[in-house]
Amino acid sequence: MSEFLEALSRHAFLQNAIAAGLLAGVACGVIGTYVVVKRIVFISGGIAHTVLGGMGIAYFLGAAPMYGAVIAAIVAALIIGLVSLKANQREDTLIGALWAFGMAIGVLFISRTPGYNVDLMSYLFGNILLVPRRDVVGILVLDAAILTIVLLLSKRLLAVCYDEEFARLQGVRVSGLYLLLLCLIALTVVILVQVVGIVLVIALLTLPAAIAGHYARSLTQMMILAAALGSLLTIGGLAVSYQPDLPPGATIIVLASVAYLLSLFVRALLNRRRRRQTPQPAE
Amino acid sequence: MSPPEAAIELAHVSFRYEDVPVLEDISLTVPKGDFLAVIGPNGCGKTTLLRIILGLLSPTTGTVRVKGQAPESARSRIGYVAQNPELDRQFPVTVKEVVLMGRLGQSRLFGGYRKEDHEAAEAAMRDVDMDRLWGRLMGTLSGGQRQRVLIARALVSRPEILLLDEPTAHVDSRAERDIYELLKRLNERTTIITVTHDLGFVSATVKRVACMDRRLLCHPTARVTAEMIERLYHGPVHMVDHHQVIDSEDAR
Repeated sequence: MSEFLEALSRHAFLQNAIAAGLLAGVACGVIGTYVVVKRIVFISGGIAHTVLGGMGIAYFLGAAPMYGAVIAAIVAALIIGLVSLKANQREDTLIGALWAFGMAIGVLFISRTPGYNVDLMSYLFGNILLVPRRDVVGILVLDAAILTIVLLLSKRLLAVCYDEEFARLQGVRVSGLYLLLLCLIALTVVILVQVVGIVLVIALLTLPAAIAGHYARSLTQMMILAAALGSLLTIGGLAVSYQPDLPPGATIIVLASVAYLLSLFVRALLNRRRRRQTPQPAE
Repeated sequence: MSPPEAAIELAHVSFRYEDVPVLEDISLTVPKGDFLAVIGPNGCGKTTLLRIILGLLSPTTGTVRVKGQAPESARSRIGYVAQNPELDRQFPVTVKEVVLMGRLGQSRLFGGYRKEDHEAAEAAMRDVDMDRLWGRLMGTLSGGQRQRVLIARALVSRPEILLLDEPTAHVDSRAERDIYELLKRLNERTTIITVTHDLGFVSATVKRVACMDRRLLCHPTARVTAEMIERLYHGPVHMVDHHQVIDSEDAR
């Protein structure tokens, strides 16, 4: 660990990685909270994987992968969102199909791109150590956009997540907000892809928020706690992986999974203790 | 004396879900200040009737007027308490946040709730005697408490009409009696329609009962007999005399 800290002071790439990790933690905490409470983990997974299609096309056209990823992610989110709003039945079948179709498109375009195809692995599994400075700035901009929208619309998003029908009766534009939420998830996916890659995104999107959900009394609390946990787990995983030279993305996810299991255990203990101390009132 | 102003008017409303008839030729006039209970077996279309009055579903044929307007435009004048088990008990949300949702229609578009929103929510919580539960998590409430909070949420916007779908389906009998007492009190200023299949407290509280099984028959409470209800629930499909569908106007 001391070696990691020493390297951190010397290497700019590690400083970029830390910055990216902190910023990614904030996005995954805030948006992951919505994903967990609204139970749209599968839809989010679909968006994450479909993003590869757009990134592959951007890569093929020689555009900056991050711009391509943003566009691809938004398009994927809108398609999947419309499918889940319009398809009354078998929504999961359609989303599963789009999930694989997006990835297949990405693989085809990347394979047709002339030159050296090392990027596929880093798209799929991420490499936080390779995040360039300009991408850190890009992540910062996305973070700011996500936080601004959430702050402005928090009370409506809460109502849409908690009780869609009631929100609709109050004149809230439920479908529009749902699509917006999926777009925010898409932007978060773009950020997280830099850190842990497409395949592992879903764990970072859900685990910090799920842990926070064990203790939070409101969505705001859950978001703050999840953002702190997301940053902590990302940087912790990076630090642990550094000296033995393990893949940082996978290390971060293993760390997050262990933390989730520990939290489940702690919560079970707390609940048991609480039940013993205060007998439940009858009514 | 002029006839009381109609809060809700349905004329020859039918509704089919795909090919299945759910409601058939329902005509119903609910005067202002009425307290109507709609009873009938599961799947008889009670919830569909409420959703049509709310404008969440459009009738296949027939017309619906709420306060003389189309249901969609009259929505802000209706408070709705849906069946609650669909709400996620693990959702981290406090009672206060849930009641404030009743102000979404009036509150500003962006940012948080304002002082007047909080005041309206607090007043609604006092109306249902639940103001001490303000900071509690929704998931920790008993069935009866949760139901009162949801009624408070429907009252925040000061609706003229209150629609309730099985308000006592998941509460014990004491809480059920309390909820009907609360509704009786609210009826002094609000027209109420409640859908239910718990018959226990209905006849003691409400003013009229509509028996439903795709079709609808209205009776003043005094005319509902045990025999009628028994026929509605245990008999074959033709329970009440369905050859003559009585408009509520005739029943009064």
